[in-house]
Amino acid sequence: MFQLGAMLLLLRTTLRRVFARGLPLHELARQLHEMGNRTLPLVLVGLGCFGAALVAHADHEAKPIVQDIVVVGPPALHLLTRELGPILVGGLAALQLGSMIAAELGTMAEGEQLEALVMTGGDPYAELVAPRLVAGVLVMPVLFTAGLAMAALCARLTATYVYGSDGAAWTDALMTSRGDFVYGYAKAAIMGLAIPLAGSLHGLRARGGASAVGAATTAGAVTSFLAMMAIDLGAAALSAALGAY
Amino acid sequence: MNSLAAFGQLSLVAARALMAGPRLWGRELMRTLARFGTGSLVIAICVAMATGAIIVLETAAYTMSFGARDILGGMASISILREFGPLMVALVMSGWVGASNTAELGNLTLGGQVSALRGLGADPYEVLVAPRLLGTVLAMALIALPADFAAVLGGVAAARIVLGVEPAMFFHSIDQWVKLRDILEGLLKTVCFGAAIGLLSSRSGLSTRGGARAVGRSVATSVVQSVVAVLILDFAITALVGGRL
Repeated sequence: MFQLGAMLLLLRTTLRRVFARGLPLHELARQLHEMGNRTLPLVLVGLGCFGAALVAHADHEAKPIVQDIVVVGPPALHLLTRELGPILVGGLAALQLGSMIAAELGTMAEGEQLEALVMTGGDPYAELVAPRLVAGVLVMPVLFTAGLAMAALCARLTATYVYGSDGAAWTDALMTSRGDFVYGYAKAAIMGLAIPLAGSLHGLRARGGASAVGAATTAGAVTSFLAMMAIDLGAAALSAALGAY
Repeated sequence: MNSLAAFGQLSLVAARALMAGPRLWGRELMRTLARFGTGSLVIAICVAMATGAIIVLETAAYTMSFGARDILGGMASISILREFGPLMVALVMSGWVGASNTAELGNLTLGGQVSALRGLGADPYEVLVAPRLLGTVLAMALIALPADFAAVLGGVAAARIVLGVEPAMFFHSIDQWVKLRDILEGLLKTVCFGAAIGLLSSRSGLSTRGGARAVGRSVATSVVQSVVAVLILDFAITALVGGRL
């Protein structure tokens, strides 16, 4: 709860400072490059493995009931788009980006570079935190697209070559509507805001030597992960309560 | 070539830790268990409860549309206990236990304490690595059952509050559908994930070279490698148990 309050305060301060001073576009471009390129390989490998595991899980659980796992393909793609894709991409990004941002800002805080920035008329919120938040919101939907495509492709290949089933069913969007994609992308974008926010919060607070930066790095990753889970749970509960299925 | 070298290094660390196993330091093992076990329990339970609730809400989209409220608990619990519970808990533990272990071993390596142990005639694998590896596996195994319980409780709560499904109906469905082997498969996965996290984080910590920034890099590498290993193992174990590999 304390973390949530602190994250909301950090968001409010950052928004105020950005409206007053503007967003540094060169830092935004650097963050887009850093965050996207560092996380993309992890998302591709992770979601690829998960797509394959999903077929194995379906074979194990559903085959006794449905005889052929081909009928599980379209609902699995639906589930990947709405729920499993955003939560896994969010989880991997939280561990990678949450720790990376906390380590970067923590090293700067520990090395008194933040104070130096303020002394030279700069603003850490507008120049360091805001570009990371905007980059997170822009990068996460791209990572979600790549991850979803990779998971569906690996599921198709695994179903075809390992389980001897019709793999095309795993890329068949028969049950997946435009609304499901919008829901998945919206969740990814909100997670893209929460993850850098949690990482920045712990990075800016780091004080007390190299061990404090290490502690901030771990706390940044775990808080980002928990924030991502909370967003996903809130969205799932809201969606179910509104009967959006 | 780097991957081959890293694999060789990992095999050496695993072999030396196994050989040091019979002579490992009990006090360090207890310290690791306390730090990684009890210290991680709250995080693991939070993640497990959220995972249980999310999976129940998503499974409801399929079961409720067929009017099959009575199988919701069983269907969701199999997925939670066998697949998503162990996976999500292992992902957050990669960021918590794995990162802490790497940071500690990295700082000890950089501070010369690992070399000092050798100078005193002690084997760092007996004093540091084997207790941490075994401690991580045991901690994950001990966390697994409370996490399973929390995940099911999270599912029950979501089903009652959001969907209006009575807990008695939910538990009756679990009783009908969930078998002991589903729980055992989840436990097997958790233990294997713990071994992978312990091994990879120890290797990253011991191979840390440079200054304080190198510890941060080692932590990031350890988290990424642990996450990838967890996802690969997830597919391999699911396929193996299903008799496909």
